[in-house]
Amino acid sequence: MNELVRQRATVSYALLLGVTLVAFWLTVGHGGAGLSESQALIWTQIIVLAFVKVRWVLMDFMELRSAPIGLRVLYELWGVAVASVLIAFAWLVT
Amino acid sequence: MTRSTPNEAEELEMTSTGRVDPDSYDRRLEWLGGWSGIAWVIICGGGFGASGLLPVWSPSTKPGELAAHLSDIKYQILIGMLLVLVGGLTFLLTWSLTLAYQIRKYANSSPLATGVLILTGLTGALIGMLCGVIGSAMAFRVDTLAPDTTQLLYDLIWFLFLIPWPPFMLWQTLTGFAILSDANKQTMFPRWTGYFSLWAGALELFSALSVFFYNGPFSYNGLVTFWVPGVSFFAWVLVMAIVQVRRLPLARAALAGESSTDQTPNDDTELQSIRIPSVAGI
Amino acid sequence: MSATTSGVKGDGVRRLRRIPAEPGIWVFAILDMLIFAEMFGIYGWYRADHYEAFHAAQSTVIPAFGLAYTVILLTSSWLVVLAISAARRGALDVADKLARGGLALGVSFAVLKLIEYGTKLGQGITPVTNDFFMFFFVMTFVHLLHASVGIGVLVYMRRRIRALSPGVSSDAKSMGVIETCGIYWHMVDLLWIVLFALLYLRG
Repeated sequence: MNELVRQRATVSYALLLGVTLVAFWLTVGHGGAGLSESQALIWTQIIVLAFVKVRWVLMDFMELRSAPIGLRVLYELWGVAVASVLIAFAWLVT
Repeated sequence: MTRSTPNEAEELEMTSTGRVDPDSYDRRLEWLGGWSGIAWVIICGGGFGASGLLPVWSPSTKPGELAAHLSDIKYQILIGMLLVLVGGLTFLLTWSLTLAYQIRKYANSSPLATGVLILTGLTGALIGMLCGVIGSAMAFRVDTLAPDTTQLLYDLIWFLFLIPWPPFMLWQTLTGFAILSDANKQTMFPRWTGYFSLWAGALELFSALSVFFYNGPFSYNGLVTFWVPGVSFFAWVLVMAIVQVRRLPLARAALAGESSTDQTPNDDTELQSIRIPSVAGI
Repeated sequence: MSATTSGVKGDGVRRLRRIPAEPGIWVFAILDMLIFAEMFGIYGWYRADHYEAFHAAQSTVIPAFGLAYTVILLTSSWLVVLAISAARRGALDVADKLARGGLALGVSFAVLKLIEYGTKLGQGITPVTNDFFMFFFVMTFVHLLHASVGIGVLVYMRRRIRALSPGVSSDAKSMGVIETCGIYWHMVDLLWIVLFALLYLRG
């Protein structure tokens, strides 16, 4: 069980670094995001990637994957709710 | 245990040998003390709510506009502030003292902790009093004072509410650490109330931001700077008071069970269930 | 992977779901995350409402700082997970070294943050310069305070790891406290991931 936690966490760590670099490259690396693409779309991508990362930290670093369902759902809901609100604002408020 | 009437037995806490429990006055005061926290939340929260002063207006409001608005709700303010003063100067004092007493009795008996909790509780009540007094004075003279001055008094209410946050933070943080200390057998205060207290204490820091901004979420009427410490403090008192009321019988029984000289085998299982190990459920 | 379900695993052993660390820390964390969620939400609204101004202001933010912070905290969190895992199986020396690594990275986060603040203030950019920087400074500063407390928590965690009896399967209470420290630090990491996306990535 302990070994599994360690392996899972390491895989997640690699993924976290990967996604971080992808997000960085997408928005900053290749000349920065001009206003050519819809800013709401770019924002949505950034938020989704960020909360995918948050989820890995919750599930594999904080070990919610093997926690009682209620606790896990509560935290997942936090991620879903915050991400949804942030994305919604970009599309609805201009 | 024989009971003549349920009321009598409740009053006197007859033991099986028929002795009157000398601690029943103390028990009643602890119970009332816990309830006074709930009373404070209702009366003081209700007072602010009824005063018409919520939601707080932005510090950027033009003084003339603000003074006109306050003049309109003058009597509402005065009655609201009256409630704030009634609640704050009685119930917050009794509750805070009960909290200090019970932390000492059930969580951690450090005399220094008790002392600091008493002092911070007193400070909190006095700060609340100042909000009520200034609010009243402001409403009292709103029709004759220059609007600039009225605005200054208005600022003062909220500054008093927010910026003397250190004693509140100390109050909540010390409570939290006392509850999380090893000495706490968690009869009255389970560990989650300790974490909850630390959270509430941390949030007090937001109040400090209010002097730097004249509008937006971090100004004294801000969604963050006003509402986060404001709501969390009231919530903290309410939650702790509810815990104090609900767990009083358990906590007292556990303490009595500890100190009683006769073995009470039939109470053991009950006491076992009271001693909640820290990794179990809330 | 089947280990994450409460069903029967391949080797016939049913894994029970347990609350990681102490229940109280989960109360703390969700409440704290709610407060940050409120700030994130208000920021999101302001940003959408004043997009041009925010976009322009954001151009003076140096993304490399943000990337550095994120890599530092992710690595630090990972090391803490490894440390706790090592402590669980009794490898206390390893656990201590890993915890020390996590701690060192935590300190470097704070130092780098102060350097970044220094550069901004040196350019004359302060929390009252405009709305974007109001959010930038306030949110990152509140986070920095959490991270600073986190450094203290990691120091305490190291102490508790060193206090474990080597080679003996550690008692639940001690491990619970150590895991609780880890949870707090992961929360700091998680909150930073969102802040990085909100403040340092330009969209």
